[in-house]
Amino acid sequence: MEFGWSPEQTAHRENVRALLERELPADWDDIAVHGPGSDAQTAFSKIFCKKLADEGLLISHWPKEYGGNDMTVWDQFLMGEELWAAGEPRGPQYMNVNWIGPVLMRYGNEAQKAEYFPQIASGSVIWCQGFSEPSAGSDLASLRTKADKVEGGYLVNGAKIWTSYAGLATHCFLLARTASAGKGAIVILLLDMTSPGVQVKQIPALIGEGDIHEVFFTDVFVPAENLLGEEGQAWEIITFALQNERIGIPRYAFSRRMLDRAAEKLKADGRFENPVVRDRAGRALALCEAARLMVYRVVHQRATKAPQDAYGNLARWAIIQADHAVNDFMTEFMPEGLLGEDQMQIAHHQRAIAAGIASGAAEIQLNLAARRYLDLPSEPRRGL
Amino acid sequence: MSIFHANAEQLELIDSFTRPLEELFPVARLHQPAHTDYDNWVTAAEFGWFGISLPEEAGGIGLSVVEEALLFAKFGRHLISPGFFGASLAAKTASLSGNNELAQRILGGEIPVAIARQAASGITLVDAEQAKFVLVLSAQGAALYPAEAITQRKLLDRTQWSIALESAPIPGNPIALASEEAIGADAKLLIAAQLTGIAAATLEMAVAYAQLRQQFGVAIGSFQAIKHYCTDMAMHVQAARDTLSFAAVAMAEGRSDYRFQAASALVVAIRAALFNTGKNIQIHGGMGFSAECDAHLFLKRAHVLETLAGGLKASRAALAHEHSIFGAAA
Repeated sequence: MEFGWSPEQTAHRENVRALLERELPADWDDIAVHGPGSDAQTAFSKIFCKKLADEGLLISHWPKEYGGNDMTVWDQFLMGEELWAAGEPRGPQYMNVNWIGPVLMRYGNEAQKAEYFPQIASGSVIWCQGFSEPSAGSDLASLRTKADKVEGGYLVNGAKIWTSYAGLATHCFLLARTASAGKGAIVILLLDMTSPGVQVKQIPALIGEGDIHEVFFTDVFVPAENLLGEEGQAWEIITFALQNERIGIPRYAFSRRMLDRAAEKLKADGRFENPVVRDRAGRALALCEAARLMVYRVVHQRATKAPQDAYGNLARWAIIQADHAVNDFMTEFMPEGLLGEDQMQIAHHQRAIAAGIASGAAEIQLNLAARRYLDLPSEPRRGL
Repeated sequence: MSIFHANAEQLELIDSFTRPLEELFPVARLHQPAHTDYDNWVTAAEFGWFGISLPEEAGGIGLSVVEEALLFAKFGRHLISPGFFGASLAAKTASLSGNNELAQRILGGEIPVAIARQAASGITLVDAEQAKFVLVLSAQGAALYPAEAITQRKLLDRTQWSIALESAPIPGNPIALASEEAIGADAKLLIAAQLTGIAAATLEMAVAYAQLRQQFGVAIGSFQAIKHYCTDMAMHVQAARDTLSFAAVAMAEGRSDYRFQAASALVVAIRAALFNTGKNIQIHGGMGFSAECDAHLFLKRAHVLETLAGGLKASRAALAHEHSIFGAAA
């Protein structure tokens, strides 16, 4: 049984840390306070990702034929761990490189690859995902946004909601339907956000200004060449995309950073000697460790190209527990920080609330794990 | 990162190594008040179960704590007497004290050992009625005593906890001693392993029942209220397994953070076992709290092991102590 980081991996980690040390500005904590989805970070991502691109680290995990460097899954993950611990300065662009790119590699045509890859590789574009709708959250297949076939393309009408990054997005990975019902009628359109008829409206929310939006489409024309894959193939593509999205985001690294920070503060105030404080700190620490090691298993599965199982669902659930435990710890022992003194603590509190909802209600993941991992039957359909 | 999880070969090895468990130690034996795992003590010693991670020249099997953790996870599933991990730790303690002859006699099964936990005012002995030696765990490490050195023993209970519990004042003059630095991580790892086994066994029990038991015309496992408990339990099992195997490999390879990892594995495992044994009872409904059902046996044993570890609170504080930033309490 081999175990541990290799000297090359350790050097790689040091390299990423040095880069962060060098490239993050003095006011980074202010920029990062509302998390990777905020407008401030979205704007900063264009500066930071350009630097990453210059260093050859933005798309280094992509295959050589697409301009990457065939970086291993573990090296990519190590970098993600360091970036997340620093507050994820790639902002929304982690999505470009982690799943938009890989999805286009697999399902895009040559013209689409030629158009989008250089933009993503230069760190200058922001994609948003047009998935959730007012009547289609966890039940994504019931989405209603229409894509009517017209000459040369599609005419899109409808609305998306809870869309992250939309305010500054240049592109949208948009789901719409060509007929009234069924998964088979859904298409994926690669939409230019400057198209006439696209309107973005911010939704004020507890997780911070600029984080989530409504996007309205009124007779938006999308050229036929912007269809991804074939008509009828959308569900397969979405499943592939979500698999790439949900695994390997080392959010626990951020929770752990917040916990360490809290311990340092309490220590400085002489409050960390209290056995109750130490007990609760130990509790939160154990949950962060458990989440980290569970994510390592998911990464291992990916590195060895093992078939995807529901383990990733369990790992995500563990990450949420860690988020909550760190938040509970800070709320219990540093209430003054939560009530106004400490913007980072407030932001973590908000993120912990959203942790089980953003990127899909966690209960749905539990349903999936129950079916795929424990072989428990599906919920009975209620008859009308 | 290369991988730290048990491979198929190791699992198979442990499977074949523990094949007699089902026959010798079915969980149902705990329903018999007269049962004692010490009836099979010599047999267990002959299988090499007490010295799996000790070198062959010291009378062990010569494998590592990685295999030992897998073995004790199996023991957890079968609710084997805590005396068995007492024997493993006692042999290590004797050997650390330079008393190899005593270590060999323990490993050979000649001296049945029980385990106890020291608190401020005294010690709690677990399943110690047939033991000739008692290993007392404390925050300072482990101390081994001949049974006769422990006086004023008082039987607390034999039935409520499905195992004999006794109390006694803290004894003096141990025959062998190991410091917390020397033995603490081993103790944490073996307790965590058994608790992980308990968490896994109760998950399987709960899921099997949720698939079988029908209400409103369907299996109760189809209801989200039940299946979400089950998935939560599955998360606890996987968290406990992964932290346990990470800690075991860290110890086997002498990684600098092995004490932190063992402390972490223990906290995660206690939580997993307490959560899963509790939810298993809930999912079993009325059956769950009947004496006839095995569910209560797992909950009780989880609490006994938690107590032997010094309690959940102390275990969390010990983890905080190992963290580089949190550091030592004054």
